Amino acid sequence: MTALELARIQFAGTASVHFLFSGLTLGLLPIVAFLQTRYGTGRVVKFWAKLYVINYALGIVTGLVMELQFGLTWNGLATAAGAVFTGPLALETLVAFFAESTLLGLWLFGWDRLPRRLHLAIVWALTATAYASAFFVMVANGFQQHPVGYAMRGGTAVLTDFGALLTNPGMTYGLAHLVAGALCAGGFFVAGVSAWRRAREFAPNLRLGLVVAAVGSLGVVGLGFAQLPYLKAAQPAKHAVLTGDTAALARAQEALAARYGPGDYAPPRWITVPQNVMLALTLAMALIAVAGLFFGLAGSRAGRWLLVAAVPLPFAAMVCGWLVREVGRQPWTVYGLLRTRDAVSDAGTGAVAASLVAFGAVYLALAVADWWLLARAVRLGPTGELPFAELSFAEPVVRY
Amino acid sequence: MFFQVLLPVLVFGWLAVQGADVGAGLLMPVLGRDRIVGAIGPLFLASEVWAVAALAVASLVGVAHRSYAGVVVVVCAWALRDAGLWFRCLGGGRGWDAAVFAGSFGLALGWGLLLGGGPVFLALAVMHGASFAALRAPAAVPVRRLATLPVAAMYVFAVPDTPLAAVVVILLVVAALRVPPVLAALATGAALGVTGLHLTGTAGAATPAVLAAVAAPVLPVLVFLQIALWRLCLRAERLSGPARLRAASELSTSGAGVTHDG
Repeated sequence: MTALELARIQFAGTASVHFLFSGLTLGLLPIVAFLQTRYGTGRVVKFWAKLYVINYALGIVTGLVMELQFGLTWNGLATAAGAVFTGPLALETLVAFFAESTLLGLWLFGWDRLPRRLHLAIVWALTATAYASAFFVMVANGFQQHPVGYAMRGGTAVLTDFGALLTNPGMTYGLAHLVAGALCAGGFFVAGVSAWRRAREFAPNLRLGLVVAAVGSLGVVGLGFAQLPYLKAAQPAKHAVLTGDTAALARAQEALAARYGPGDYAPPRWITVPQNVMLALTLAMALIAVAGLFFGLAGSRAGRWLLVAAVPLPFAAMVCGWLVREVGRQPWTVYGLLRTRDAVSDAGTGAVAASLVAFGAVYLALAVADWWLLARAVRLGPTGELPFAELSFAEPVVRY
Repeated sequence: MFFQVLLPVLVFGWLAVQGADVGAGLLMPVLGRDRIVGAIGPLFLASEVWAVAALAVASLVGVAHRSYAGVVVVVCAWALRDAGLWFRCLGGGRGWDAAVFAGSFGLALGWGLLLGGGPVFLALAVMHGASFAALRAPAAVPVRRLATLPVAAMYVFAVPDTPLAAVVVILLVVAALRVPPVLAALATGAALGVTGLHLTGTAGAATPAVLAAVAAPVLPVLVFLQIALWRLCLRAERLSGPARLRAASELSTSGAGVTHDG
């Protein structure tokens, strides 16, 4: 394998694992904020907060690698479009992540210590920063899908219109679709965990989870299909492969070759596989959520097990969705501007292989450990303890 | 231009703040695991953001890629160490202490690979960790004093830059004297920070004006939130003993706790 292929596998793998955690952060946090608003900071809300924090830990840890890879293995991207592309990412780090982590600390350590309204405002601000984070990441990704608001100066893209970047259809459609998918994941997570716990105190949570899951899964279908006309105009080759239209693919190939010079401009045909898996999973999720809401699925033992079994489905669908979006963009890293083979750094095959193995091992071990901890916290149920309750605060404090 | 100002601030903050955690992690076998985790735990979330912000900005302006291996080592060690701390505090048990120690070790070595300077960062981190731990665990004070001479000697040997070495040695000596613990911790943090700054050099990347325009007004808010968090953690700690007892007694007297059906 070449360094290019290894670097692509490394990015796809780390991004997929990262999104398993950050996707749940996005989906779960509004539900927790809603529950705290509705029911206060009691032990059931503490339980959800603890699950959220266990998940968030890996969101941070896996996110570390993401931003660094742009410099590590995709140097060409920084050279060709750094002035446009790095802006949103730097904002994501500075504004969204920095604020998010600090607010999380205030929320956890201020639990039952800060005034009630202030504490509530903090959890909603925390939710806003999580979504700001997704927004800025999608602004950067939207630029890759559909570069706007730039001008080429001396072989480098320079930002000319920040507003265009923020209203880029390559971003807005994707962001809306992603938010619906994340809510779907959060809803099924809450519904599945509540169904497993069975206790009466979880009944309102189960219902709320199903409502969010139903809205999310129906939204994800609608918003997915809504972007097809835009996709047909912006990335005709991807659209043609996804819809199986060979005539349109030939036309797109011809038009792109005329514009960008000879070459193969069709994305890999296999992206129809994750597309179909995503569609099938979303259909199944919509059916389960609606059945749970209107036909009392949670009343039976089998129905509860079905809800528990549905928890991983939205995550599988999200990974498939990313594969369709990102692999479907090939052969471009920035559509029409920078080819993937020109974006890769000149790091040696051995170095990239070594980092792939190292990141892979760390990611795998930590993800498994995190899921094990999540499962353990679910099994223990609401203990009335906050996250970090096991910290020893017993040391004497010297003067500050 | 914005990055030229921001990057040094973040690198300094990164090494001074995360260096405290890393150094304390290195002292786990000496000072006791529970004590160290107790010392790092409540503050590491607040310090984490400095590290991420610095490394992200360094990455974006191209400073972080001098050493491919350095980046990989730093990232893997960091992930391991953070996950160890998170997991231990979230019910994963004391087994994760090994990950915290190994991650701290890897991180300090990785700084050396990434920024240059070899094992200097390891030595400085031990020193800084000792003075940070002394803020919360007086048993660390002798460790700080004992470490001063070897660390200063090693520094002078490994870093031939005379003015820098002089500044760092003065800072280390200040930390070894009978000074208030906060001053000692600031001195060792500054020693790490100036070393990092010196080795990072200056980055020459143009910043999109819009980034500066958006980020500049937000930064004071972020700094305010950081101060609020640190104050809350330090105050909560002083209150935590009785407060936790009170919470426990409230829970037991109010029966099954808070019911949910409203």
